Amino acid sequence: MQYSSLSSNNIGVTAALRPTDSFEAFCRFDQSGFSEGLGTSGSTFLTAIGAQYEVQKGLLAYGVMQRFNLRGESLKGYAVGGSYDLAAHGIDTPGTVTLEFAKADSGYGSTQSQVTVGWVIALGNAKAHPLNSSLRTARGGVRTPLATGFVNFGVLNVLPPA
Amino acid sequence: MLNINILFSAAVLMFVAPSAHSEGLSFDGIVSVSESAFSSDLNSSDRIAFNLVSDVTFSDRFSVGLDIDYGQTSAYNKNINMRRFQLEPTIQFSNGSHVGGYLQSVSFSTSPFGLDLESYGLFAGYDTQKWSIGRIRGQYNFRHAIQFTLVQ
Repeated sequence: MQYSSLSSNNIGVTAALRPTDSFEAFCRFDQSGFSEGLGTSGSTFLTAIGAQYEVQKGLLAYGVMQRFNLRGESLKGYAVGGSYDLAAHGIDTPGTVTLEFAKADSGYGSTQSQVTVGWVIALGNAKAHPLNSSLRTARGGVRTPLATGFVNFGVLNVLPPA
Repeated sequence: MLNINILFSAAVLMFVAPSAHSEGLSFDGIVSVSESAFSSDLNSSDRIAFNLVSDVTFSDRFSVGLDIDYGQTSAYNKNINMRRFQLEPTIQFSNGSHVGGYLQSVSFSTSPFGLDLESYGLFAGYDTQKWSIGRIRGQYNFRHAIQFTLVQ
């Protein structure tokens, strides 16, 4: 077994603006700088901007644009999606269904399309919203750009096979 | 260094504690199961995922956020497993501001490659009904391992 390791500092900001009860715009910027380990240095960036709109009670639509830069290799893309609260629309089934379509371009020409279908249950007083989605990460829900890139971008798919 | 088992144990305690008893404790969360299909000019794959985002509220001023994510991606004829835990103790102030810390552990595994990302840091923010802003600062340690197998 061969191990390699490095340490990094991470800094980021998030912001959100809610001009009405049904509309919210948000953004996120994260940066990590590698300065030691593996004999290399570099930076990782995550930038995202998006908005969500509650079309009617229980029906949410959103869009996100994002860029993920891993030591010079850039992934940029967008995602559009929505969620539909079944109970709020008279369907006798608990939970909220979610749908997201995302597209990402890597720095060396490959393009990835992604469709995600989900089912969300809210516990307690929480309000259901898509979790396995760009909406969550663009709002800062997953800390550090590297973790976000791997958790929600499908980074492994647009990088060439080892 | 964080240990994913410690975080998992803490997560279990977080679930047990609110249901055990005691007034003032509450648990609010969102659970999601999902499936993703990927296609690119390099590869096609799919991923199943389980996600939990929750808050255990101990009082008006103190809560602990708990996230658990699990995903399995099938790509290049291999399964890539991802696990993530995040704990975020947070103090809320009456003027709308908050401060807290986060502990996050992410691990990926696919033969013969493994990757661990452990991070921790502080965050602060301010929320109103109309807008919010937050700032985060932290550090993470990144380790990957390659398992070499001798074939005889």
